[in-house]
Amino acid sequence: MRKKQSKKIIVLILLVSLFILSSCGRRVGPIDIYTGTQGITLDFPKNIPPKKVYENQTFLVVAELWNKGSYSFNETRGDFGVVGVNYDPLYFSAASTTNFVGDLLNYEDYPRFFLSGKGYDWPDGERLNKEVVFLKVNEIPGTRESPVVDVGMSVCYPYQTLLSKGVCIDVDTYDADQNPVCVNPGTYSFVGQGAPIAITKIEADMVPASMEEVQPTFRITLKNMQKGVVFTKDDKISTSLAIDKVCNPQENIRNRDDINSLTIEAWLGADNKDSKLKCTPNPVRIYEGDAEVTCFMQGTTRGHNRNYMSLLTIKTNYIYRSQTTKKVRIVRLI
Amino acid sequence: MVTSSSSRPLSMTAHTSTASPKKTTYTPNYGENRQGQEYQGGREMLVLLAMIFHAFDAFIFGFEINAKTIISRALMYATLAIITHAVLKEHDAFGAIKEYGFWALIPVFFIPVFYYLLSLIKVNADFAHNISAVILAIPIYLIYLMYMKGCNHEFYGGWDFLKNIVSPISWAKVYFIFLVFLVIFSAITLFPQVTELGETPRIAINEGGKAFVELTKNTWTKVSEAITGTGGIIKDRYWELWNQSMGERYTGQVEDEYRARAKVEITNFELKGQKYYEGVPVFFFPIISARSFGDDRLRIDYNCTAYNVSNKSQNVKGNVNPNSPIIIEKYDDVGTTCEFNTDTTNMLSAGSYIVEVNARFEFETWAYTRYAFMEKSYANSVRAGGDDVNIKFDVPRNPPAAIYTGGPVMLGMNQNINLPISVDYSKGASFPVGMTLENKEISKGEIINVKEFKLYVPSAIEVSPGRCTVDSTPTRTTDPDTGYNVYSFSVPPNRPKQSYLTMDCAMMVSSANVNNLLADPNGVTGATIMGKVKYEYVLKETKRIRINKDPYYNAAPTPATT
Repeated sequence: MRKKQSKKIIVLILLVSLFILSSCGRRVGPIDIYTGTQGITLDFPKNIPPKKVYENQTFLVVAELWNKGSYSFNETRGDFGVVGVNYDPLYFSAASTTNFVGDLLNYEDYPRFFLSGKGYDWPDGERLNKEVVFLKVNEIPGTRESPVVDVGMSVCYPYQTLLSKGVCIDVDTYDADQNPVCVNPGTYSFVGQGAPIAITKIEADMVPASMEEVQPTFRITLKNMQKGVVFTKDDKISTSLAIDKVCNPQENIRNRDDINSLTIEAWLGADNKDSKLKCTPNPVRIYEGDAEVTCFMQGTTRGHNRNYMSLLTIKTNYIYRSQTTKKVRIVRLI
Repeated sequence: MVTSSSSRPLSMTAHTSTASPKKTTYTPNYGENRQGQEYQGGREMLVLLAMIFHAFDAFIFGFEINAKTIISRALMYATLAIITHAVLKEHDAFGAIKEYGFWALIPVFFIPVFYYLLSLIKVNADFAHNISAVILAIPIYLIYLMYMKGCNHEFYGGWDFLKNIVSPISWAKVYFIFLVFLVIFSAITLFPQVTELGETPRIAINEGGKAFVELTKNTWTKVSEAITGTGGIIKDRYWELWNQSMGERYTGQVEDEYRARAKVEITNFELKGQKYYEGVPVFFFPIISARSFGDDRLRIDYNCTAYNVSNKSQNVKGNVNPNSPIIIEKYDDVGTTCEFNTDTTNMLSAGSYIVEVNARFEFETWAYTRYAFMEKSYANSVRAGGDDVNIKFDVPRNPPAAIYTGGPVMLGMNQNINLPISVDYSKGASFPVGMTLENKEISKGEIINVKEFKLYVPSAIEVSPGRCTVDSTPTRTTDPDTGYNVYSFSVPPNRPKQSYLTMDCAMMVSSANVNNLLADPNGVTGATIMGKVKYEYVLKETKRIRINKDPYYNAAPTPATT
């Protein structure tokens, strides 16, 4: 009898402990949001638009947006993304989500969105299904029975690549220090910082400037990790204007030098004017997906023959544009 | 004319007259000129030269008649004429340069004339082409006549040679030899051109004896074909030339069958029995199937006729049921009956017949292709970044094969264009569009008449004025449903049915229209371009049938009298 009772108690204890252990709770510990090589991904939801539509039908185009990167749009800062739609006006007529506007959507009708990047609130980044446009299927011209037509979407958004990395400032030119705090490894390699433009390599050189001084110089390699096109963000104008300048499809007077180019900012140590590095060329052109820029301290640093760790921060703001298409079969009603 | 000299030996009668020395006629012996001087190899040289010119024409120009070659060819034959005159001017065959000028300069004069005619009638160039090509043979023929005359043949050359032929048989004999020579020579000289066009694989010279045997065999095949006239090489060559003059042949692919593609077909045209006798009814049950997505109803006129194989004048029209025409709204299979030996009007006597059922109808075929456009400076900036625009924006390098709707004809469209097409805000863009209409090889029928030949382009795209083949000034309208620009080309009714018809146009986007065209200057804008052809077509199905004599069958029933 006693044995039976003790068994029951043991089972009860086990169940209670199992419940306690399996209870849900917030993920604890630090999250490294600066990983990955994607910014905002754009996709069509599985069945929207459907694979098959009929003449005279109206269907909704929805953009499945997901901020998989580290940068969050801040409404107060004026950051926003724009979703555009691209379709053949022979087969479709567009209507915004509120009213029909004819064959082509005006930029003003393009839906804007705000999305948070990875963080404690959104460990995997924020997702959003954004209604873009209603498309009405026109009557098929001619005698074609069932054309297959592309419906395209594009997303244009501001983004930022940010890297902060402790680097060893090796001032011990003569190797006098038998037990240095750190040693300059020469090259630092990275995969991504949670953005479509990744800093993939930093080559750190401590150029001797005098007996006790060095000029830290960094050769930074950036790479476009996705298929989209990158545009320099014009810092002289407001963010919203800068976005409009690049993303407005009707805006045909623009500086084409801003395509495939990046403006780089870098600091060694504190994020202030004095510690800002001079980068050249700046803006830098991306060629075959890669860009290389050299940043160096404008003065020199003295370490009293003792190496030390310092924080290297590299930042680049840009506007990124990517697109996707889906094939839709139009069926004639006879 | 030159008066004959009395010092030379005469073998033929010479007439000398002081009153009218110009009337003197004299036919010299072989190897002599009119003065009786020894004539050393002049005729042989001329024949050889003419052959070389002929071969040169075949190899270099391919007997082609176009603006680029016409002057060169005219000069070439004019040179031949001048050399001939220079060599034979003392010869009696050519009493005066005007005589030679008439014969030898004919091609020089007529080629441009025919070429002009060709341009006037636009596409129906085959007649002019053939005539022009035949005329080219005249200098060779003339030189040949001279040569034969020199060989003491029984006819007189020059201006009056036709009148002076001694007998029609000798004339026919000479002419026949000449024709055989010309056909063989044309076949040989044209042969390399044809092989180049892919009809027969070109044989490498270094393959030695085997290759030579093969080449000889092929040549002989071509020559024999040409002589027997069965699909002869010259005819083929003419069609090749015709096709070349008509432009490139663009193709496409028929729209995938989603449910049932547009068509008009005759099926089930078969004989059910084995033996047929006079007076015994013969029935065919062809099914006419039609499907169309066009706006108009399909009207199909049909009939069936039995053609007597041995006596072509004895053709019998069969009775058809339902009565022709049949009207089909969108899609239907109509079972029909074609009958013979059922009344006095459709009796078939004993013998072999080819029974043909034909259906005549109007049909339309549409073709669709898609071009991609990109703002020029944007595309250049992307390229400057070392990116391949086509890969970056998922744009095919050339337009996809045109999709054309079902039916008996193929409507292909030009794919030889690099995509995306660059569009400049200040200068616009220009690019070609081409369309080919062709009766499908598998189709059992022919296009009777092309009623509409149209090109549909987005409203921002226009035809460059005067820069279209087939019809340089197509009529422009706007399609009310799509807002597209519609260009209608007039197709000459006497277009050869064996050939395809290609229309090429230079298109343009004016700077004012760039904004209308480019929906997305930061990306790629696609535009569908369509072609439409509406035509009258006759579809034919044939069956061979033998009607046996029935010993017990007396005669066709006499019509009942009232």
